[in-house]
Amino acid sequence: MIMDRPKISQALPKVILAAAAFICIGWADTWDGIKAAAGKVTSVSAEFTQEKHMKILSRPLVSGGAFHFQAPNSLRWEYQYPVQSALLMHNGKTKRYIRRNGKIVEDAGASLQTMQVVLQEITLWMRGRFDENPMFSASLKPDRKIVLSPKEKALATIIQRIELILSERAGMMESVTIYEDENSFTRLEFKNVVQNRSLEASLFREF
Amino acid sequence: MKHISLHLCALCLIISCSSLPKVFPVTGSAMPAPQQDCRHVFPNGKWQFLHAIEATVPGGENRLVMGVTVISSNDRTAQCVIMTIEGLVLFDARYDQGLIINRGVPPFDSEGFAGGLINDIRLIFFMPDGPLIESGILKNGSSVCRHQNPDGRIVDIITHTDKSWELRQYSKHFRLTRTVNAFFGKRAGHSDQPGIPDRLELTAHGFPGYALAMELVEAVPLRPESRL
Repeated sequence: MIMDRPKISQALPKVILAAAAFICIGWADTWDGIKAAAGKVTSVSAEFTQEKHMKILSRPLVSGGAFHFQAPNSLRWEYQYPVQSALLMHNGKTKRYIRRNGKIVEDAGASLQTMQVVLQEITLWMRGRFDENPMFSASLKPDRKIVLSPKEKALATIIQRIELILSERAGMMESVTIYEDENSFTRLEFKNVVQNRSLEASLFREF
Repeated sequence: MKHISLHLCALCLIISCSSLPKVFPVTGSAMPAPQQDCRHVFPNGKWQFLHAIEATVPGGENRLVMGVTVISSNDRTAQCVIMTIEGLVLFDARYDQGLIINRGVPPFDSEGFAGGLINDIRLIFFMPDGPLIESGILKNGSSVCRHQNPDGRIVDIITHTDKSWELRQYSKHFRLTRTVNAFFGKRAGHSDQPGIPDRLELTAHGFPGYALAMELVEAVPLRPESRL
């Protein structure tokens, strides 16, 4: 079938538009796209910088460190400054270790339970399963943004909402901002991301 | 029952026999007045402190939290935020004539905890409310300024010859209730601000006792007009 010129000239922009739209559909535009991209990730290592903003602070509190994730559920979240500490999650167990005066001490404070919830949340994110958490409802926004809102009031008193900005690079996050209330939020930014590298199991068990 | 009675008697005897350490007058004009040293113990103006706090609670368990304290010596106001190492806020309260709790996650949500914490902060960072009633030196040669607060409590500000210092708070019955020890330089080494201790150790005596070891992470002087 041969199209005449006027029909081609009318159809061409539509075809180009459709092609452009297809190209512009990134990995982070649909839940399925996110899950598919994250499904290819077996491990992630990255450095992070954390800024704590509060109304009373003249300047944010800055801390930093590195994290390692091994699918499906192993996570090492390590602060290197200002206080050396690590949260380790492996085989369903979460532990916190702190380096104090040259000694490594295990800390089992009440807040560890809350941090366990946060770590479990992070492992879900790393697997792209933002919309599968029973504690948060997730909504996908433009510009690779995901907003998580707590479903229960009790959790909402601790975390108001979480905003995640996904990276242009498939399967990775650019930043996470945890809003505790209007006056207090924590922003994490990631860099030097390495994916699918073989990680030692001891990383998730020992500090 | 007999044992309990004996213990109670012993306790009453201890309480009734409590007395304050003797203060000796300063002799010789070459020695500086103790009041000069005592004034330097407390930060002047507005400050923001970040401490890594190791709390030893009844039962001997240790907990590590981060504490942000913003104080103003001029209007004697303080705000305190306690958070996990990861930055999750557990407690946020402000003292300005009275106590206002902005946020408290269990077990940090009780008024008793908040009141006790603010009292500890006031003891550490502010000159005592009450007037100077005695000054001089202790038996060991350290300078001391003794204040009595309106509620009857006594606070001794003790400065040692190596410039480290100590606070001792006594009840109106002269029972030791709190001690605070300040250390500089070698023990922690984080502070680049003169006069700001690198490490503070607070002990709450009696029952239930506890101890706080506060290692300074940063001390930021704030402009006078900064809002607290």
